[in-house]
Amino acid sequence: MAAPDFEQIVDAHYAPLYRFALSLARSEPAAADLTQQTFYLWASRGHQLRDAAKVKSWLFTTLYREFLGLHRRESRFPQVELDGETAELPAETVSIADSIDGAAAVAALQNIDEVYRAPLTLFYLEEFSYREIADVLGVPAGTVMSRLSRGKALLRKLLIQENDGARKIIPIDLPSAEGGSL
Amino acid sequence: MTNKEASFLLGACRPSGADATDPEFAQALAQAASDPALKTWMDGQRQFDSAIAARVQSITIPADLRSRILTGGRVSTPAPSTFARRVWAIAAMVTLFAGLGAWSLIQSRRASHEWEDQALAVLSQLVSGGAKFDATSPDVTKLQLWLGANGAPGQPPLPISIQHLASLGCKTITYHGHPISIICFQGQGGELVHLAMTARSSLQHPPPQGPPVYETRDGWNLATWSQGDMAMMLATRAPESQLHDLLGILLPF
Repeated sequence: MAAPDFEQIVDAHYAPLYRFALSLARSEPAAADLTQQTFYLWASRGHQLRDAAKVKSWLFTTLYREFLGLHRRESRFPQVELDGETAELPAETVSIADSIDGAAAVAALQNIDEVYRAPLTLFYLEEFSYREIADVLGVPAGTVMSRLSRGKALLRKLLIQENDGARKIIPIDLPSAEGGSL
Repeated sequence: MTNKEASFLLGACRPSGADATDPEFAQALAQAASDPALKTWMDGQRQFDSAIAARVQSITIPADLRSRILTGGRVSTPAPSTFARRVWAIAAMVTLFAGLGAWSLIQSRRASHEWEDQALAVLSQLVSGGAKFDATSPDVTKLQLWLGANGAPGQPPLPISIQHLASLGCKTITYHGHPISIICFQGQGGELVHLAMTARSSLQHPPPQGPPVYETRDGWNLATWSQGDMAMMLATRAPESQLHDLLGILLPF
C-alpha cells in the first residue's frame, strides 16, 4: 500500500493537532502557528520516518516538543507527596460537566497547568491510549496515569467554581514547590 | 486491589471504550462490575469524561488553517536532487573513515560516562533548585514503589544501611529511551548522597561487577558498580571518604 501523501496526512491529523496545540498555547494564532510548524517539519523531515503507522505519534510528539522549546520556562514536574491522605474514591461531577457549555469546558482545561493539561487534552481527544500518551510526552506510563488523575481533580474543581459562579476561572497555583528541590 | 487503586487505573480508560480490551484494565473493570460503589464511581467518571471529550473534540478549527498548511507544506518539501545526494554521500564516507579510528578510541570511555553525566546534570539541577523531585517521601520504600509503578528501576534490594538513611525524594529521567532512577538521601552527617540506577542492558559499557570504581568528576565524588542486572552510581559533593564509608557498609564485597 502506498504511503499517504502530504495532503492525506494533513486531512487526517490537522484538526486534533490544532486542538492539542490550542490547549497548550491557549491562543488561537499561536495554536495555528504550532500546527503549521509541525506540518512544515513533517514536510522537511517526515521522509526520514520509516514506519508509516507512526505518523500520528510523530506529529503529536513534534508539536509538543516545539511547544516546549518555545514556551516552557523550566522543567516542571508534578510533585507527588507520597505520604498525603486522599479520599478512597474521587468525587463525581457528572452534573457539572453536563451543565457547562463547550467554551467553559475548554477554558477550564486551559487554566490547568501544562503538565496536566497536555495529557488531559490528549486523553479527551481520544486519539491515543495512555501508553501512547506516555510516548508522545516522553514520560513513564504511570506518570500519565498520575497526571490524568490529578488533572481531572483540578478540572472538576475549576468547573465547580465556574458553575457556582463563585469566582471567575483563574490560573491555579500548583502545589508549592517548596521542599521539592534540594 | 482497593477501590482507590482501581479508580486510579480506570481514570486512564478513554470514555469511548477504546481501552476496554486492554489487559492492564481487566482486573479493575472486573472489580467495578462486582463492586456497586466502584461501579457508581466509574459510571459517573465516564459520563464526566464523555462530556468533556465531546467539548474538546468540537473545538472549532480556523477555516483557512488547512489551506495554509497545504500551501506551506508544498514550499517546504525538499526537492530531490540526485547530484546533491551523491556529493553528500561521498563527503559522508570520507568523514566517516577519517574519523573512525579516533572515534573508536574514545567511544568506549565516553559511552561508559554518558548515563552518569546525564544523571549528574540532573543532580546539579536538583541541588541548585532548577529541577524538582517527581515524588518526595522520607521513606525510601515508598519511593521505590513509586518508581516501580512508573516504569523506572526501583526494586533492586538496597542494603539495610542505606534504607536507614532519610530519603528526600526521587526523580526519573531517560537515557536513550531507558529509564534512570535517582533517589536522594540525607546522610547522618547532613551530607547529601544520591543514588542513580539503570538497567545494565541499556548500557554499552556498564560498570564492572565487583568492588566499586571511585573517581571525581565535575566536583562530584562518584562510585560506580554493578549490582545484579543494575548499573549503580553513588554521588556526593562530600569528601570521597563518605562514599567509602557508605559503600563499605552497603556492599557485600
